[in-house]
Amino acid sequence: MKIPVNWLKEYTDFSLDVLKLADCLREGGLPVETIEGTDDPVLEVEVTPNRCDCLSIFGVARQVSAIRKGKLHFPSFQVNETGEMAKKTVRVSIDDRKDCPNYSCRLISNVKVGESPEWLKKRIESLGLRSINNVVDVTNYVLFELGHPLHAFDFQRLSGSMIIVRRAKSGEKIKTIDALERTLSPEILVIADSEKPVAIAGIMGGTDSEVSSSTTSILLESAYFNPSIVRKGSKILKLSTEASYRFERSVDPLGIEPALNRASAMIQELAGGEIRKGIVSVNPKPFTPLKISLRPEKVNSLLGTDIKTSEMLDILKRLGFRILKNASKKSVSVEVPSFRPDVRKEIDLVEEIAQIRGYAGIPSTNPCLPTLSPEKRMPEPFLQAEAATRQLLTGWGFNEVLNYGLIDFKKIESLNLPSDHPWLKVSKLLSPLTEEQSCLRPGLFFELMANARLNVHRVNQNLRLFELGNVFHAGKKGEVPVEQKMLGLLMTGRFGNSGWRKEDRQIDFFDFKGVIEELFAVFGVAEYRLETLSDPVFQPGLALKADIHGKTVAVFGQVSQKAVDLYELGSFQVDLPGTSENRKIWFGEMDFKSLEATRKRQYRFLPRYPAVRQDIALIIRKGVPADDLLKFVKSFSAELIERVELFDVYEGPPVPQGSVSLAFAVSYRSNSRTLTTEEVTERHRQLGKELEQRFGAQVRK
Amino acid sequence: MEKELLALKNEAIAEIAKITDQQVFEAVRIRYMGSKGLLPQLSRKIGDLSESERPNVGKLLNEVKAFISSELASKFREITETAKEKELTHETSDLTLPGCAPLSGHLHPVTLVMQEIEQIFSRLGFKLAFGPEVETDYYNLEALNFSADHPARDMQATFYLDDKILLRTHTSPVQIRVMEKQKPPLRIIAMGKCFRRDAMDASHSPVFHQVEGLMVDKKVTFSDLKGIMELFFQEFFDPGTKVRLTPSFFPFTEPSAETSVLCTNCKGSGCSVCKKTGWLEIFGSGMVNPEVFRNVGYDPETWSGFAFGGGIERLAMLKYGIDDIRLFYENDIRFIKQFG
Repeated sequence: MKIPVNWLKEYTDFSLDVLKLADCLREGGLPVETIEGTDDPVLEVEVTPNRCDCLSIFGVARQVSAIRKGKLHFPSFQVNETGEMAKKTVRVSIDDRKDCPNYSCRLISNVKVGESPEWLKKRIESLGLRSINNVVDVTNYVLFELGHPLHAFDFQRLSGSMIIVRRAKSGEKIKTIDALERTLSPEILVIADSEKPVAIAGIMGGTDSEVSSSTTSILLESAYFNPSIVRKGSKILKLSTEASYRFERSVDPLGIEPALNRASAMIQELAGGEIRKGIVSVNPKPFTPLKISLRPEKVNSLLGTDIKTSEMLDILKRLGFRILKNASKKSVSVEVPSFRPDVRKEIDLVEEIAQIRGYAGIPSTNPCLPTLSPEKRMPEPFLQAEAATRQLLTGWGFNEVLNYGLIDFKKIESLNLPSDHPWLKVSKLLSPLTEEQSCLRPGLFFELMANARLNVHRVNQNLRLFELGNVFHAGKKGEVPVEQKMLGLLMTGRFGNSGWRKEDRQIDFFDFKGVIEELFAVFGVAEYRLETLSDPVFQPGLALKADIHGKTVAVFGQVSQKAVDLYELGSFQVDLPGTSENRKIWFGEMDFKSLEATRKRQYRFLPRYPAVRQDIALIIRKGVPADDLLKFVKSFSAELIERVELFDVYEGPPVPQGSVSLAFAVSYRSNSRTLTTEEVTERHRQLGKELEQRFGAQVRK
Repeated sequence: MEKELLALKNEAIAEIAKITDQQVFEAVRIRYMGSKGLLPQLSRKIGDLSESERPNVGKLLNEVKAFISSELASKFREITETAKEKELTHETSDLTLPGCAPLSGHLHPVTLVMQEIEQIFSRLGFKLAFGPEVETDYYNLEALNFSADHPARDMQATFYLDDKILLRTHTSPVQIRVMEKQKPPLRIIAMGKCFRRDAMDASHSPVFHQVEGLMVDKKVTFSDLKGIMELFFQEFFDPGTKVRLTPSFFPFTEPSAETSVLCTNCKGSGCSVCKKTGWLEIFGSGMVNPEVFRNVGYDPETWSGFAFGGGIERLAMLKYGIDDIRLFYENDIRFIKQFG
């Protein structure tokens, strides 16, 4: 809202330079965004949506006068009525009083429409408007001066000399003064004559009845339209005007007459003419002001201040509130002025007092912070898991990324996922900004791949990325989608950081698997089963899933060629001098809940008796999972076998073709005694025999 | 015989002193100590001596033998150490070659700022609270006293999934969820992702993070809000940070305040960061609107509270001097590596 400073000074006295005035306005809740010009500066003031009373220069002056304790002058004018009663010539009817509780107008005849005088032109232009003619300029002047929108009709163009406030008929058309033809609907309120709509109520007038140089008789409208109907009409027509902006926020119901009279007087002064006797209106409903009881003690207890009651009341009076009577020492009855529909409750008065007095004057204190009960103060257990995950992963060289969580549905489609794939339960946005952000992510894959693309294209070749964030799976229609916190991991490039030394290699499956396994291990998740996974996202035969009690909690593997190509990563070789390996991208995703269920940390006694290590090498046909062998060995003698490790994998002579040699180190230990060589040797021999029988292995001698 | 032994000893001392490498050492060792060496040859002659001479000569022989072998041993240490040193200096001829750094990862700056906020407020007894990113109209707007026709309800401003289901536009719904479940008093901090339908540019992002604080107790005042805001910004930026509260409007607080700090860049003299105003608006804040208390079943006559909230990225931008919000979501690792 533009406020020319010299104009503002007409209504209140203040001796502040423009910067001090801006400070004062900001303190009073009207922050100044810009200051233009130096001789006749114009302030751009931001008015919060609740303060409809400040959408005028007079309204801002009232606020300034309240803060500065200055006088406030309402513009003075005189309406000289002549001739016949206007209501003998004009008829006004309102279809629904809910849409328009009050419609008033005056008839001014024999006007001479022409150019505005220089001073008026200047004022109109200082508001950023264009001067049209003396009549239209006056309606705009009063709109900005008092905040009440007015409209001037060329009375001769109104068929039947009548005004009907009614809903538009379906398909009815009007050409508005911006020269556009608009099609109306019954949700829109119009001002009509006996034949057709002549204005869209509270929004914009029509060209037909527009005041022009040939106009001699004017019907000047001043009304109160229901804020919601104006808002609706403005939205449907995608048309917002200075008038609609004010009606939407509600205008002063008692401001109708002063604005009408002020403008009539100005028109008469500038364009001559005779103001016909009386205001034509449909019995306006009397305004009943709201009374609020204010407890001064409440004001101070909320603000943490020690403001005297007399000062509070003085502030309210200067803002236009009436203090009714001191009902009791504890509370005061306050009558709210018609221009403050935003003030409804005691708390609203507290705010008025705080703002006018200034927040700067309120002390700054340290609140009392008593210790709250454990459930209200102790951190949620999963936060520890999050912190530990971040610590571990950064320690392993992973960089954290954060993504929108909004992805392109076409990307999901182009992966050709099977119909039961969890990533197909997608929640789409009704009004996305772009196609690239059209749905909520069902997995962390898409954005991590996009992160890999951006980095690799920018020659950040060696990546270890993680993201801890929610994914979303659509529920039934009308239901909120299910949010699931996931940990996403992506690796690509060199394994190490060998610098100028030559030895290095590309990250492989077991490097990536080790990360997943170690996460499970650190969080004490032991009961998971790994199974091969067939999924178009991953390279066939290079992906696993981890299940706990039949529920998949993690998937990981090498990203399939199709998906790599989808993110334009196919042609980027890995940065390893002397090799021409294709870049491999490893992606994995874990349900963070599976890690959150952290085990209790509990000390276990360090062993007191020595361990005996016995190695065993097996020749076994390829295809027998090493994991099965490891699990079997561990379970073979749970109380005596402490640990088993695979330390060598060998293929080639003398191992026959189609077989592989696996060597395990088995550590035997008892918690209660020192094991004898004989019993360990015997156990180990039995273990070998069992392995030969169960797995068709052959123990290498 | 005694003379012979002493001569041999002197001869050996001289010869051992001259040894410089392993080969010569080996030759000298064999010449004296080898099975056919000079000392064994002499010791064989002991048998030819008379009974009375034998003990003295035998004793001397052992002494000479011990002496020479200890001399040889110390020589051996000397030459092997020299050899090792030589080898080492050869291998690492240029110590200025760069070392091979261990791999180290970094946290996203948004996480770092959230961690810092959490630290500050947890010391004051605020607990981290959480809520879903997909919200209902009720929690995101209605319970927070947003009017039925508030612009935030517009499809142009907010991402909707359905009539009443939307991506939360702020972290304030967490306030409602916590208050519905717990009776006062309470102190919470909520942080997380928010969504607004703003086109992306250097200072706008359709997805961003917010922090939200809420304190409810029996005598919480606006002056307490001021105190907490000063405390927070002084700890987050620096102890000299100046904080200013000015009137504003939010449906869920009253009185409401825009909370600004004196520009962290120019200290108030006006620069491009503060758009020449000298101040940076950072948080919205205010006293919890009694309507909000009524919506969650708190009695506003008994309880009062304050709430505040603002953007995490904005805090990070000011703290680290980042000039474009889009950088947070590109996830270029050269950006991420600069912080944690």
